[in-house]
Amino acid sequence: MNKLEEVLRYHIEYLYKKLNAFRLIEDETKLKEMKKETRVFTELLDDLEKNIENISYLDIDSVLSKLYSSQKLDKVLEELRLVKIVLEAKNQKHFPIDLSEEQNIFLQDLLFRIHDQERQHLEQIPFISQEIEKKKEEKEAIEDKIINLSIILEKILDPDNLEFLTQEEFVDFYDCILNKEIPYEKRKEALISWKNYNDKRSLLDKKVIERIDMASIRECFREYGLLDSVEKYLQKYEKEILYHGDISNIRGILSYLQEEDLVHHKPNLLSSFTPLNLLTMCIYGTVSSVKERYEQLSENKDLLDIYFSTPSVWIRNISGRRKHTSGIKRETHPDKSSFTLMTMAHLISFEEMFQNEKLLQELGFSVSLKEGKGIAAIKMPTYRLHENIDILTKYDILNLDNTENFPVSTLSFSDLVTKCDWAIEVGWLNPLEKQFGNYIQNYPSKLQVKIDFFAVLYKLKNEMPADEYYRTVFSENGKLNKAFYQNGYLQVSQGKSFADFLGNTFVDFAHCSYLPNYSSFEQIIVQNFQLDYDLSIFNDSLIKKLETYHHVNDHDFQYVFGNVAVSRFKVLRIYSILKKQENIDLEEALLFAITYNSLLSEQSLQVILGQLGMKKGEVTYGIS
Amino acid sequence: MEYLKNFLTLEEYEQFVSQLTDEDVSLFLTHEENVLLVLKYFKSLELNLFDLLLYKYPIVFDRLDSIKEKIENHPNIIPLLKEDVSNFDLIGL
Repeated sequence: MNKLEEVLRYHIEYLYKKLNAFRLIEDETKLKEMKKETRVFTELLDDLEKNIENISYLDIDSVLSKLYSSQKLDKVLEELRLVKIVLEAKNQKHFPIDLSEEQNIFLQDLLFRIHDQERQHLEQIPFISQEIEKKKEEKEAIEDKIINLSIILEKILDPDNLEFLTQEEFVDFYDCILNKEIPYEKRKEALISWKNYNDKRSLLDKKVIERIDMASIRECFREYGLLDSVEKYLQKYEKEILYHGDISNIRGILSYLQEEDLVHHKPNLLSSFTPLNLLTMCIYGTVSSVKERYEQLSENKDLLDIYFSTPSVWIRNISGRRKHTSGIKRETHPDKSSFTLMTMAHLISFEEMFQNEKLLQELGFSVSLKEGKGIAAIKMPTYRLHENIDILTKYDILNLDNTENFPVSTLSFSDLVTKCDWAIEVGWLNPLEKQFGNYIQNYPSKLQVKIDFFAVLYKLKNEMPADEYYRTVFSENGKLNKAFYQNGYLQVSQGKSFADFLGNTFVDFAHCSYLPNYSSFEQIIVQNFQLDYDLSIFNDSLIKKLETYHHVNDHDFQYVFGNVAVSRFKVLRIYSILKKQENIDLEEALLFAITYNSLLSEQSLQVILGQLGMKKGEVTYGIS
Repeated sequence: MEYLKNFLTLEEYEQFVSQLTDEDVSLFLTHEENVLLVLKYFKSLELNLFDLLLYKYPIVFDRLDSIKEKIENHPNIIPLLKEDVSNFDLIGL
């Protein structure tokens, strides 16, 4: 391993350790708890300041441990019990009795302690919030550095790569040079290697590619007895093969795979790959990439089945390059010719698969490349895996202290944040609904429910009282009502097509007079995707009003407008993105954030507009 | 992915495929042999394969023996899976 590679690997490992040291989930949990406690204190003060004797019906025991030391707790509980007995006798049984002076002093002291605790929390919360924001920024910066350095590493390991190392890349690499945990000599030699790398690149001849025709390709595969099995793929991907294929490269790969090498215990590997995987490797791999990978795996006695069904492992792939272009719903049908071998060729790099397995195992998930468990999750782009874990944790569907039995398949779902928002809005993720509101937490796979079924749920939820809605959708045992699931759409849509049902039932916000800038807002959201909201958004006056009038206590998930529930995370997230833009009408932005991706009837929309103080039919805004 | 048509009606196939990303399709194409084995096994258990693919398709890329092990460790799970494939959630799949 040359020094440049060694130093890069060391520093990447070092950055991973730093990343793992962040305990953001714990900090956020602590913040959440503090906010919850603050609300409890505020409500208690509200009641007690009206009349201290209201203590007799308040359940205050749970907060006493926050107000008194553990040594005093038993005594305090006893005093409180006696106070409540006296008050019950006085106010309910009308005995001629009153609190003693000591008891009054006790209550005043209690009131003072609650005030003090509330004040302390209110002082600490903004500070903790700022710390969390700072940590998040630091974490993101480290993640970006890891990606950039991994890209450089893959580049220098690819002998077929003709690109120079850029100045921008040098800025990232220089971080490694500053890392004093790496011995000085190694850092010095790495710097020299960097320069030598570019010097060598400038001397390399440009690769001459021998262009081909399909007859030559067919002949090549026929030579190796593979034509029958690959023929249908040669027809399907003909254009791509003609554009990217190199006959000598294809022949080189097939020859290497076929060759048996008794000295190095290498068998004929042609039949270890499916025809499609083999074709992908031949078009996008190189002889050296295939050979080096085989030798590496063979040397480590690590020839797992999974590698033979992952053509991208045998192709040099750059980790982390795929950002928000992947995970997007298909525009074209996979059986048509617009789907390419290139997608399979660059699905995931070998290194990224390892990183993902390691990440998931460290978090306690039951995954294994060797045992073939959790393969879809392991093969996801790392950034999407992180994102999905963050989303599921944020929406309380995943508890990182209890991952072993979590259905790993959920981590692979696409568009998870939208599905979680829908789950909130149809009441399937609703801590206030004791019997059915944890349905998604029990069955995360139900986030994959078809959109037409979600549409039915939206319609019914907004039309029916909550009890009736839940009785319709669920059976007594908390499971989905089978008959409703099978026939619900048909009954509710009355046999209409989905497009007609949508058009007749829900507002088309893209063409709604209240949202003249819908399309541009949507474009901003798509281009500036972020998973979380900015904590500073709570200083916004419009959000403050939502928090005051529409945020249901002890339930961070919803804003409620009459009988309409809207995902609070969605509103804060989208509004945070829009607020950063210049020249945005903030009230329209807020309405967009509330309605985006929701299925709302005209009636539900009017409820929301009424509660927000927006007049019907006019572009006039004012939040009540 | 035409091989999935052996397990689904045409309408089900089109509906299922329409919700997949490019990465999902890549997995179905590169893991065809494994997917076939797993779907045949689930068919033998009389599970609703359309629902299985809709809600739990990532499972089909796992090795059959690891799936069987999970199921065999929960002897009462099969009737629940026949009733609703989301009950795979209960056994960590």
